[in-house]
Amino acid sequence: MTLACEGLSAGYDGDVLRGVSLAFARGERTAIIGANGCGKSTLLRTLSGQLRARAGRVTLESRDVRAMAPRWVAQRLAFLPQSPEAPWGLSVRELVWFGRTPHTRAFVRAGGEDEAAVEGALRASGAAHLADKRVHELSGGERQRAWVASCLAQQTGVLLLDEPTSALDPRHQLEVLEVVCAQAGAGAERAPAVVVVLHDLNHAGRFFDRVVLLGGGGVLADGPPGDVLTREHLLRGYGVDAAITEDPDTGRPWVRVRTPSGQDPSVT
Amino acid sequence: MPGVPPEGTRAGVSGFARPRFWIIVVLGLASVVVGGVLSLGLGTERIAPIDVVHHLLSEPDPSDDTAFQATIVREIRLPRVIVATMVGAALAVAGVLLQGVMRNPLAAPNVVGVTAGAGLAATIVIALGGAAAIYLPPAAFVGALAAGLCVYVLSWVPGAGTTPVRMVLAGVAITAVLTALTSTVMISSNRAQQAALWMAGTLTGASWIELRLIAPYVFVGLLAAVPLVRSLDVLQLGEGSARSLGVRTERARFLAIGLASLLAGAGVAVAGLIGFVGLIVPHVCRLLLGPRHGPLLPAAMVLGAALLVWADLGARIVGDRVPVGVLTALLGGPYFLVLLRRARMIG
Repeated sequence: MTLACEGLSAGYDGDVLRGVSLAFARGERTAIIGANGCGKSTLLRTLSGQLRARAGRVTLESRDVRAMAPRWVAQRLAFLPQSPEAPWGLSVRELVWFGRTPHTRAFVRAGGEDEAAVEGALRASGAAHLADKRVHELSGGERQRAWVASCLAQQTGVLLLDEPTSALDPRHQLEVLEVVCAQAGAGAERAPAVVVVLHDLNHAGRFFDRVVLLGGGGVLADGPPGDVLTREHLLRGYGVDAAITEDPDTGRPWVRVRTPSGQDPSVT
Repeated sequence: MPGVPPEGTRAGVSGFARPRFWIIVVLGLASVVVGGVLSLGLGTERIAPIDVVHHLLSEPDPSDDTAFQATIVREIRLPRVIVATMVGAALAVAGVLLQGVMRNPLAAPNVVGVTAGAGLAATIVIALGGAAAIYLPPAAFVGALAAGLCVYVLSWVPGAGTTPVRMVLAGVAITAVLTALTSTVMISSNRAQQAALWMAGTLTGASWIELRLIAPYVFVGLLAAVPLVRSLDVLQLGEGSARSLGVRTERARFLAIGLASLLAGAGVAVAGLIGFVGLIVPHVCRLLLGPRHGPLLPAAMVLGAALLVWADLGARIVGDRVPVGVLTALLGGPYFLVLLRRARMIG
């Protein structure tokens, strides 16, 4: 297991997560879902070392991350926070070059390997044509692609993304998820473990091999989308009444939700 | 900024590879030299620029009938010009460090309490009067460092460290308290006018003594800022991204605040509260050169020095009745507003 946590408790003033144990393997695509405030972002922030665990531990390649240098961790784990901000005037290529920070040293000229990583990341995320634009000139969707490229340039075994699609239009949502999930070719040895926090249940069902539903400070369900995205789980996790059918295009679960008392206008 | 050509692909060279960077540095250095030479010729004894250059370059000859001019240029006026250069560079670099580390466009030495600390210490020394006056620069320096440290410590939360916003807020609060105390001291002193002049910023009377006092701190501060360039660049992406790229953000913040206090403290110790340089010069450089600190630091250093040399030249022309701090604001303000209008996208 490339990334794991055991008995993890974390939060800000109190514990949002209590005794959570999870493990993520290379090549595996995992969606983290759950109601607002259930600890999805807290989990990602703790796994990425942004937030210190109040109890339990996080291991990366079997080592306790707290004992390792930030640089060592950054060579193995990339994290894209919610709504990241680039400074005014920065070009997309410069932003993507920042992804090489853990692999390069100050005052040492970056090598061809770094350059290849940057150009490869730009291409993989469909941002190559944006490379010379300024980040502040881009649309939200283009900007997110630039940030994803920056994470890819880091060339890590773990990719953690916190709600990468929240502010995007439907097409850009699909494109970002396709880019991110393409990184983890199923079963590939060298592919990264991809862990994404999502709000869209249908995206979780469609793009990911595994869905983790958080709630009540712990894991409510963990498994393939078909096993996790059930009426009972969604009622417990979100307090919604869900109708789950099969998406005729993909064969994946298709979720329609309504409040327990309300009417879903789409149900006719 | 539209119309900027694409930069080099290597992260390490982008910025330096741009002609604009070199134009700024060369023009800045040239204007430091020209302004300096003009400044050396001005005063009660007017000396032509060509003679100034002659006095600077050739050994003084006691038998020469212009020997007294050489003494004026070398012993009295030269230290003041060098002090202006150093103070300008120090304040501008302090501003770059603070704005970089706080990711806040309003961050400047006077926001993190540094100048207010110097102000209180200086006012107390001035109020004491008499023989205490020689301790003014060191006292102001210590006051600046103490205030910077206070702000850092007070914005620190155990377990979570500091955040830029908390630091700015702590700085504003500390500044308010220190300024109130300064006013109290001023009001109860009969040397209020002298204190007010110092607060407005003045280089009058800057001599080799002041120069020797601040030179080591300015040099150390400027050199020590260089290894921080990479961390400062990455910090622009925000705390979360910077950390996940392996940067020790808390350490970088502490070092940057410490260096900025050192530089700003050294600057205000001998020149009084020239706050504007530390705010405007970094912004001008950012607007012209973008957010990378590699080119930003040297450019700010040179432009800061140039701005202060020319402001001091202006102060000499009007005969020191208008403090140099006022002139930096009058020179830098309009230029900055022009740039700000051009770059509509900022903020």
